[in-house]
Amino acid sequence: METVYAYRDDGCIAPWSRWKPHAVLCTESADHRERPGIGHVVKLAQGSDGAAALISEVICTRLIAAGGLNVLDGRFVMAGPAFATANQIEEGRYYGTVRRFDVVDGPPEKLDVLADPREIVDLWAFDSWLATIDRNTYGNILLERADAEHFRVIAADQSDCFGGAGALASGRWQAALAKNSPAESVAFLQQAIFQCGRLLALTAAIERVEQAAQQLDQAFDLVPQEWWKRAGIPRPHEIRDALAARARRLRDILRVGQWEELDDDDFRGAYLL
Amino acid sequence: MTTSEERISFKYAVFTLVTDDAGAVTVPVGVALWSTQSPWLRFQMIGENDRLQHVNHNEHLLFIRHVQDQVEHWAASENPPYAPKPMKPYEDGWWQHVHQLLIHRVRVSEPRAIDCSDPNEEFGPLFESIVGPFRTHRESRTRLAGQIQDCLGNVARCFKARQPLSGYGGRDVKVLRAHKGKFGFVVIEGVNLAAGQAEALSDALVSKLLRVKAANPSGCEFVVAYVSSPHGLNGEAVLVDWIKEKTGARVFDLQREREKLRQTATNLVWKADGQATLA
Repeated sequence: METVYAYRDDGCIAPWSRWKPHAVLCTESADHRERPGIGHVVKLAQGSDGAAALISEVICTRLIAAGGLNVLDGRFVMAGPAFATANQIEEGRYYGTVRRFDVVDGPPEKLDVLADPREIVDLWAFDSWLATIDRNTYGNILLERADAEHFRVIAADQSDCFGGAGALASGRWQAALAKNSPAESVAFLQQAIFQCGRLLALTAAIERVEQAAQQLDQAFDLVPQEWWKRAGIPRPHEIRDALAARARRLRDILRVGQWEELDDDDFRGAYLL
Repeated sequence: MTTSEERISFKYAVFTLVTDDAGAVTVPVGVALWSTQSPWLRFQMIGENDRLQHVNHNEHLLFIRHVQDQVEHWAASENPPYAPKPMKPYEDGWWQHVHQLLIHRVRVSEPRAIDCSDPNEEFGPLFESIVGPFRTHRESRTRLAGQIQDCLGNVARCFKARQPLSGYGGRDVKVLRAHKGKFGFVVIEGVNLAAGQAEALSDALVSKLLRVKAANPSGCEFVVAYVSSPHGLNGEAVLVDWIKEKTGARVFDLQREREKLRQTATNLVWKADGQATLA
């Protein structure tokens, strides 16, 4: 992942959100010779939970992208001494994405605005694997234009996977990853699964997760050592192994068996209720 | 000090669309107007038939519709995401919060004050003056003609619509409505001074009336009805003065001076017909 250097802080853009991301102009060089640079959205997260949120972002964004889903363009953002002092944060590396103005915040309100509902099914499978706790929260899905009538889905925020940043930092991630429960998703998830061919859609989504799971090592290698330290996580490989094991249980987690027993009439009845 | 007729206050906010990748160019695409005391709320964003410079329907309408759905949904639930407590959509705090939520392609301004007295009448002109969707000349004229007819009531029947009158150099001038009496004629024209093109429209109107006047120096009375922006937000006062000064027309605000407009039109019809005017 590319590294950029924080040059100018344009202020917090989402004061309502937990990590209060800032709009920051970043340059490619440490001496900012091409200032003011390019706009990024940067999480200047502090403390052990903050470091865990950054770890979660880097690993899970990489894994979701490895499964072929749409993600934001991630960067390591270096906060130099002057920038860090002025912002009252620790000097060092943070996580940011290139700022985009060609999107709107999701979640999508209805199925028919999506160009490819399969993206929602896939994202649910990934979130269930990664134990993401807040995908349906405003802004954690962004929507970009596919055509005049439809959007494409972007997985925009991965800071609360592993049962949440707090769980990752405190060790409760073990329980979160051991639980066989699927992640939350949009209200029309069932409809999307049916529209995409039910079992076919779920099987394809699981295959994508399995394909991404092969890149677990590369995803974990991306995380700077200092983040693990700040988050108080001494043995990251335990998390990696737990994720690998969870990928193997994904059929159970997604309760694929239930979908095998359903036919179209069952669904229509359930949906009408 | 307060009185029993304490004034109800209103706020408004403007929805804008970011049209470039750098987030530097924005275009107004909607307006919200509300009052906490009333309570009263209306918001409108551009639709399929509204055309705006820099807004490409094929590319942008999808985003506008999405945000409109979201805001409607939040308003119905009274619970926008991340709200610290349940809020009503006609409260300033609700719109302040939504202002902070919309940070990408479509945004909404912070609440702004407006001295609005009749929100039902003033919302349309407020939308026109801020968003200023381009309408064809025909669309605008038809809209305005309908408003004027509605305002005139019974006396509208005395006026013929789209009447050609002789103008400067013998060339006919088509006016919105005209009444030809035994002793002169009365012309009713209209202009939308809340529109983005208010200046050009008023210049065109003055020119048109002067051409009529040139061919009919006496016995010709002009009445002009105009759509105003709420409390002159569009800076139209000077245009009203210009129309009056150059043409001698009696000029009325189509929202606030409806009764005066109807009365004046009636009196002028009677005068043109040679009858005594109403008291």
